Amino acid sequence: MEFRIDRSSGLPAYLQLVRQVREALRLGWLGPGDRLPTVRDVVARSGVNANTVLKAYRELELSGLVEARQGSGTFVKAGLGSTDPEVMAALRTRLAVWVREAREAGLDSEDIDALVRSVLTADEGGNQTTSGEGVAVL
Amino acid sequence: MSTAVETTDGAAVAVRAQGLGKRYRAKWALRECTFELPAGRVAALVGANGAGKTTLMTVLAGLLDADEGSAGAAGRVAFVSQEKPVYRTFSAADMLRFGARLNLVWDEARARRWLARFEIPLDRPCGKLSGGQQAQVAFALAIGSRPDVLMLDEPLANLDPLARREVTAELLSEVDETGMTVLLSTHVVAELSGVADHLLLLAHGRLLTGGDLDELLGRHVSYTGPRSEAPPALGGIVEARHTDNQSTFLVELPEGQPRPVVAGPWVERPLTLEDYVLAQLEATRKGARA
Amino acid sequence: MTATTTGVVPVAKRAGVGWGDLAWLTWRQHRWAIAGLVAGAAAVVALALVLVWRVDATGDMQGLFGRWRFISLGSVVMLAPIATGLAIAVFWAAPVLAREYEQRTHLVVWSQDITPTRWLTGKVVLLGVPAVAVAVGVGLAARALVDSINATSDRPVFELFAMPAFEAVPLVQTAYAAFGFALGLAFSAVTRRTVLSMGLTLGAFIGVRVVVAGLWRPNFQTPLFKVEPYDAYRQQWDGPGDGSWVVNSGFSDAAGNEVDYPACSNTVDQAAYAKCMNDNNVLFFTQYHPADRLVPFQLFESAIFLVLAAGLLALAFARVRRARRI
Repeated sequence: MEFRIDRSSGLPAYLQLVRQVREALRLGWLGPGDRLPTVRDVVARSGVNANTVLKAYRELELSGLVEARQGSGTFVKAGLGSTDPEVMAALRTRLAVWVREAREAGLDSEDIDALVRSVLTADEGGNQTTSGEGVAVL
Repeated sequence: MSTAVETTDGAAVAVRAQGLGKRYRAKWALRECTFELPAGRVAALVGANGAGKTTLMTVLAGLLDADEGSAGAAGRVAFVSQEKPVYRTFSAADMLRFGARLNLVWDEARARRWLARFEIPLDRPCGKLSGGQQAQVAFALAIGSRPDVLMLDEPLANLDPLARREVTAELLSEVDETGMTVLLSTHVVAELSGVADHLLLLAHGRLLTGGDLDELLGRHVSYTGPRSEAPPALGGIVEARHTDNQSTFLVELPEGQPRPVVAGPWVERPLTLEDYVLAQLEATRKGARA
Repeated sequence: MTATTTGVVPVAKRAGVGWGDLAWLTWRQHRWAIAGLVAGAAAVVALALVLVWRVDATGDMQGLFGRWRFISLGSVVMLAPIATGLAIAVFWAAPVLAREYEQRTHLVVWSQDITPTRWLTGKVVLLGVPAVAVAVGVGLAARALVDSINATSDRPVFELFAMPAFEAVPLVQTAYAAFGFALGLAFSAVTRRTVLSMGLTLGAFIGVRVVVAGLWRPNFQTPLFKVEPYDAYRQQWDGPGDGSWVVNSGFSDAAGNEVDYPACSNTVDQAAYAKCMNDNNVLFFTQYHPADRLVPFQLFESAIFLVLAAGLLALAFARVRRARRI
């Protein structure tokens, strides 16, 4: 796979790499047993700092998605997107109902998008403070 | 040229500056500059034109005498100045011979590979090469000398967009293969993401901030919400902008504490390097920093 | 982590940058200036030897000077000891640092594994020693021709205290060459501009030489003083002929006080003129340096230029060692 860094994105470069691997896993471009490109390859082809690539691979390793095998490279351990299709379908139906409600309330696509995004952000923030202490809220 | 090897407790330090100051006549070009650059990093020295980047680099490279403080680099330093100078009557091959004869370590294959990669003719006098080609010869010389610390002053200036990308990639490959530390100066912040992992921000001869890039960006958040006098989270306000009904705050979160959760009408955005740098520079211009 | 896979050519490592490396660099950078001056000097030396051989064989110097209307072979040789130090100053030394600064290549060369001081030491030795050697060669050749020509006559054709005979000795040539080299280098370091540095070097070299040779040399030591009647003076109208150097002469009274030109100009012949002078008690005084002062004078003048050279060299090194700007 080939990585692309969006230099205007606010996301740190290593997180962009992590995301792109997860995306590839989700879309099935990468599967268990596949080898990730070597750090050197990524550096040469994408113009990314080796430390950044290493950091991304370490992150993926910590989350259990890949494993580094001594001397032979980094390999995909587990796949993503293995959510039960029935669960997926149920979630989708409920979301469709919610979207209809939102439209009836006068929101257009952009409004809905902004709303979803803000909820996601808040949720991500909440997940990061796992200790649940020392949280400063307005 | 080489300077004394210094090590500190903990991570190896590649470059260190202690209270560095440099004055041209009465005007200070550099003042109270203190930092340590860990070995193996690719550090970006960022600042507006005239912020003192070149002065700092040439002092660190041992080419300029400081008026105050001290500087040191661990191991052999190679410096490529902004003009990417080469001897005009020398051919590229002569420049490599020059590198082989004037360095304690010389990697001919590496230097030649660089020239081949950018298709630089070996036998033509450098004076007859284009500016971009001359720059490649200067880079090949620096790469071939296998420095422990490579300092590049505006390395990408005067290169076309394609060459900028290729030089960046090649340079980072060299860093990966040799493990050298790189300090590069630039005023084009947009190209740094993913390239640099350490930031030194210079304004008016003073170091505003320095440290691990991801860490710095992670410690800063941008909040946008209804007009308000204070941001939704505690921390140092780097920048505050207000319109009639909206406020945007750039907040430096306190160190060692978990990231706060903001809710309600506030939208939290991760910060791009460019946002961060511009906000910092803006703040010095307004004199807002205490 | 740093294992290299470069293969064919191994990474070269060594303990230091040697003189051979500096010699390569110096030759590669300055080969045209070096070759030009050495070729010119070699031509002058060869010409001088041919002329010496001819003068010695024929015992005659006729035709050597003024055979061609504007420039003669003999004057080329005689001019060389004067011009060599100047050429070294302007063409060898003045561009050395200035060109590096101008083209910013000082940042390249001093970024390699060599300190500015070591680099400059290399240039000074590798250009300075050949410069002195060239000057000594030219000095010896010109000296040989001066001696040969002076031997053809019982009075010296070339006054030994005056240009070019005074300069045409190895020691004085060494001093001029060293001074010229240091002067060019110092202007090079201070101005950082090639053409400006060459121009200033040219002017300053000529200026210092003129001041020392014209104003200071006659006063290296207090001249001897002698007063004699006009008749006695007239016998040696063309100078003393014993190799001494007359620096001043004129009319005086018996006590040696200078007097105005006496009113004897309307006498009919030499005898009447001499009588008129005697009648008016007008004598003739001469201030001169005897011939045995020649070598001390040459030593002293060499010392002046060598001291100046040392000072200028120190200035150039100080500029390079402690860079105040880049």
